[in-house]
Amino acid sequence: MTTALGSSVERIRERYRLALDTAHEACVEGGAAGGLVTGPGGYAYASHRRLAACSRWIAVPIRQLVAESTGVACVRLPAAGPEQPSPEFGRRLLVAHADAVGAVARHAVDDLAGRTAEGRPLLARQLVQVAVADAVMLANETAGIAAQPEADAIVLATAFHRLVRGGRVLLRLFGGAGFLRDGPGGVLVTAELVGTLYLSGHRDG
Amino acid sequence: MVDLETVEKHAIDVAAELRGPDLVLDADPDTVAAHLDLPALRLHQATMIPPAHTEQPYRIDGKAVVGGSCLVQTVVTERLSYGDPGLVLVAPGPSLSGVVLDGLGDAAQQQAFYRRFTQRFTGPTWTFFALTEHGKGSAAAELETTLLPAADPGHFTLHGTKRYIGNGAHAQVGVVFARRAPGPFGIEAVLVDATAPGLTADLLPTIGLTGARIAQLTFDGLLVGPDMILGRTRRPSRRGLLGAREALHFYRPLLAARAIGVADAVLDHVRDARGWLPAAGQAQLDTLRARIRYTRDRVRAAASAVDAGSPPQHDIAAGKLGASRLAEEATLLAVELLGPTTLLEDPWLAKAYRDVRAFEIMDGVGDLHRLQVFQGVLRGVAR
Ligand SMILES: Cc1cc2nc3c(=O)[nH]c(=O)nc-3n(C[C@H](O)[C@H](O)[C@H](O)COP(=O)(O)OP(=O)(O)OC[C@H]3O[C@@H](n4cnc5c(N)ncnc54)[C@H](O)[C@@H]3O)c2cc1C
Repeated sequence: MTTALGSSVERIRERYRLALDTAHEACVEGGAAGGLVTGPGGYAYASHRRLAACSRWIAVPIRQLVAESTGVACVRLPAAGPEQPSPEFGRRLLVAHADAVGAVARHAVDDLAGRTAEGRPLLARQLVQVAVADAVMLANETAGIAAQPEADAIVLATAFHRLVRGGRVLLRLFGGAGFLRDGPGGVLVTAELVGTLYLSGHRDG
Repeated sequence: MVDLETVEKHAIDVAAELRGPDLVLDADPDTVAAHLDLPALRLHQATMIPPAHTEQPYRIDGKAVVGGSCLVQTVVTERLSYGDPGLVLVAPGPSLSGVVLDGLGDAAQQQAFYRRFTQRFTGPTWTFFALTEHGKGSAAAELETTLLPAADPGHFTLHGTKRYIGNGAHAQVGVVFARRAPGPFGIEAVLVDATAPGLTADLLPTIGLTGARIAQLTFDGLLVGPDMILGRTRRPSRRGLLGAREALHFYRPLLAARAIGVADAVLDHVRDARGWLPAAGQAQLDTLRARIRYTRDRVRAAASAVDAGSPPQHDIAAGKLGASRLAEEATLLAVELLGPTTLLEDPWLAKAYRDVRAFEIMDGVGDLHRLQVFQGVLRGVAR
């Protein structure tokens, strides 16, 4: 990976961390434990930066290697808030995840334009092109769903599960690089972990 | 000689001992040395060594397990992966390099290679198979690692970088594919001693399968003598890349078996953790089980065909792709069914959730396998 592409992954990570922390900022209830929105079990994910600022609370760190390489950590708070975070928090997380998928799709375009097989850039392959298009359409659609006030927790959970699957298909475009923590896979796995905690609790049946 | 059914039952028994060490190894790959005496790892290694090179066979009820068969390895790999796919990957043994040696090596090369695994006092030997370069994994014929002529006639120096190499960070020996001349037939398979000067291994930070210590290997002038070039007396079209292709055909059913073993284990894990499930969840689980049974049969049939000398490429591709997707779907479903804190409170499932993502990438990406199935349809041979 060239330095320019590496820095583009860092930008995606930074955007995701910022969106996660902003969601906490906007949705945390006054006086809530550590200034964090907690999910089921009293767990919370936030950027290292935000967690450091909330250190007066007794938070037990939960080791999450992949999230940590994205600059996000998980803690457990003894004085937890409600079991399910507010729908607004869920919406914001879903938008942040969709945004990351869209950004990784654009990153794939840059990456695959510079990689060749049989003398042609990988980006010239129709299979690759449609995979990028699918990912961008899914990201836009998910963000559109998250913006709808009618979308309840079950709709958000279902949209999250679709986004997880779509993100994984997208990562395959990077081949082995998609399995590295410091590549685009790291940030999408982090978004999966965060969404699993805060969004996936609602299931029909 | 022990029959396949007995080997399978034995593999199921010994796989149970892999639970526990798997998590320790995930946290610290260097602890692998403490687990090398596990029967599961010894059985695994024994299935990889062809009878001609077996000194002390692994015995079940006094009968010898015969190594070298793709079907036996497929069955054993699946059942051991039910215990843990990471430990199986990280285990010492000839692995893919052995398959290349079997296909291309001359008698002296094979003997020297396998002696490492049969001499009891030399300690465990890990191997690597170094084909992939960044962005050239699927386009192996275009690889750029180079053999340059050295001062001594017939000798070369090796230059270039290989990426995502399993066991690359601690193997003692491995096969490297490198270019001696332009074109696909200008590629050689070279058996290198990883402790020789001119090789640096750097661990890559992977999302899962941490125990396998995936590495980047940089060759900077490692000296290659004529005896290190595999199949050097064959025609260029009958060595080099052909060895990689044949080894991968042999290996893909094993990789599929790994994915099936994990998928199966994940579904049992959900059953044990949840007991009762809502009807919709139970139906999803039952459907995955049915797909696992189907894929297992297909993969084993393909492995038998490999042993018979006629690898059905489209079937192997379909089996490998189907199995890797099953493993991913099983972990995703498990997390949906077991609830939002599962990935934080259930380390075994959290590990499987990360590990299985590798299967579709390893050994050639899914899109290329889909294209191979299409080729089978075109030729009228794909079912
Ligand atoms: C855990 C792990 C272990 C591994 N172990 C080893 C090992 O021990 N030894 C080793 O040599 N390698 C190993 N690999 C590497 C692996 O085999 C390669 O990553 C894989 O073959 C893909 O190659 P690549 O990463 O270069 O991706 P690329 O070949 O660049 O492919 C990226 C994407 O481009 C597209 N693409 C590529 N070619 C085409 C085409 N012709 N037509 C249409 N689309 C195309 C596909 O969508 C593909 O997903 C390992 C990888 C992992 C993740």
